[in-house]
Amino acid sequence: MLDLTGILFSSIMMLLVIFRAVQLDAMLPWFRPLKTGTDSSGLRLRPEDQAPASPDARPSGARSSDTRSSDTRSSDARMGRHAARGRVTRTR
Amino acid sequence: MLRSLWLLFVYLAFLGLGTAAPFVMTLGYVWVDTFRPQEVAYIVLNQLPVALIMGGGAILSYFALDRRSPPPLTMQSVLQVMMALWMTATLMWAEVPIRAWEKWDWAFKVVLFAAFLPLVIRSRIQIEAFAQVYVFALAANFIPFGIKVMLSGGGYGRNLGLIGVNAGLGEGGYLSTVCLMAVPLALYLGKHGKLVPKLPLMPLAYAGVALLALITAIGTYQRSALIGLGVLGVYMFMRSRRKVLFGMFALAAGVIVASVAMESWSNRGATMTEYKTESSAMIRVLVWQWTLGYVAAHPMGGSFDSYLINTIVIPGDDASPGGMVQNGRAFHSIYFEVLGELGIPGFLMFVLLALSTLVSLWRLASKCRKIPELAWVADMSDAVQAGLMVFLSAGAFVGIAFQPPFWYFVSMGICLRAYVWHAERAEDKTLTGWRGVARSTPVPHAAGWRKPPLPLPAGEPVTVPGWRDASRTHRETR
Repeated sequence: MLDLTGILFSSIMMLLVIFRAVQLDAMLPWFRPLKTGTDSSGLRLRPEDQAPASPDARPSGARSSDTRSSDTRSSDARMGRHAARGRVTRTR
Repeated sequence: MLRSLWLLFVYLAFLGLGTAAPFVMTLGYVWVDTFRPQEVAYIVLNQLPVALIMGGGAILSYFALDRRSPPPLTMQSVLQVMMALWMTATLMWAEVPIRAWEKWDWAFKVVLFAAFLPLVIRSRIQIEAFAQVYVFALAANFIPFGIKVMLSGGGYGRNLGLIGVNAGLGEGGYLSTVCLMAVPLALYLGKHGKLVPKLPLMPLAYAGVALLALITAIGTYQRSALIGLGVLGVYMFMRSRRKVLFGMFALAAGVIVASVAMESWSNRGATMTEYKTESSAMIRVLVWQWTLGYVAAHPMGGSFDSYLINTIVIPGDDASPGGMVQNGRAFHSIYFEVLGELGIPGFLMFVLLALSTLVSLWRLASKCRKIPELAWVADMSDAVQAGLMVFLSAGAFVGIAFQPPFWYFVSMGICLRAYVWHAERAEDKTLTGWRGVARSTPVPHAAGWRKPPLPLPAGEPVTVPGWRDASRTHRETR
């Protein structure tokens, strides 16, 4: 009886997992681009994920409360120039 | 009868779902290889080549339908394939050809299928499904075993599991090792599982599964389990972020176990230090000495089951002053098993595979811990590392080198690395024109695919209004 309980529990859970995995695997993208990070790893948040420090932070790409390193800020300035042309992907 | 019909239904469910999603057949093979339904069922499945059908289906469906996003080539994958080739080559100089062929037949499949797994298991969902299927395939064995241990107290040599024979998961040393390996994985799934309903008690349910695995390992009264348990405890303590809480929990668990099973365990544990008077431990040491001598004379090994040719002379003691002679004593250690069977080249490949996997998982965990999105990778890397450490420590006293757990854990490590590799490059395809130029901005440590740049561009391209809209927005906000 205990053996059957173990088999039933494990296989039902497993089938549940498999059904869900088949559903989600078809629905979700396999690899999501990394969009967040910390200063120590050098990653930056995407603009839409950040709470802008000032209302004009997004269009220009440079934030008034920016405390990041100079190279990051210069990168932002470059992004700001690109922003003037339309769609921008924030890169380093 | 009911059990057999249910298992047949599960088997057919894997095959049926596998036609819709090819990775399911691969998971079906993991289930068949771990749970071994053909040894538990009484009808149909015990008369079919279930592993052949599922494995063949998995490989065919992958090559026919599902070859997108292949993983990068890693040293671990190369070593797995090299091991499979080398173990085949050793058949040419096998000491006991018929037995060597029998063991090669399953060991080769285990190693080669483990090398195949990272080709199929690529997304987060698939990686988690792999871990879930592995844990639940084992749980079918250790849930009843653990409950019976709680009811009866267990005992050395008492087979309380599903497998009635002293082989595979019916063998205490193997069962206790795989149960301990499953503990960190079950805890990880309780914390990060996405494939189970998000109920408040779900982490507790997985903790219960882990607890039953732990009780099963303790209930086998295997000395190797004691060593594995110690290593698991130390390793999980080291990797824990709440060391005080973990220490208190471990202490409480230790006190409970000690109060329940102290006498029996102390009797078993004491034999580890009294190996000269304890025949089982003494024979192991003598077999290991024989193996070293054998490999010195045969550096290429004697292929599978070469231990069958050994003759062990046990020195006399008070009970038998004349001593004893025993033939064909098993290696009882993964290291001496690989050394005696595959020789020095095979041993070096095995050790290199284990160490490189541990190091790469350690580095992966350190890297991914800094990125909130990849916290699950860091935690799973820790769980797989802990499982591998248990295998490499407890396995030093059990001959289970070619059983699936080690090879599957290595594959899990490869899958995790490949996932991060893909995630880091997920946006590359969308980068064209000046974006591609911006993407190629020099980044420290960005040489080649081995050291991909972690600081990556963000996921979806950000839509920023053109300069007219931007200036208008600017004015409006003022």
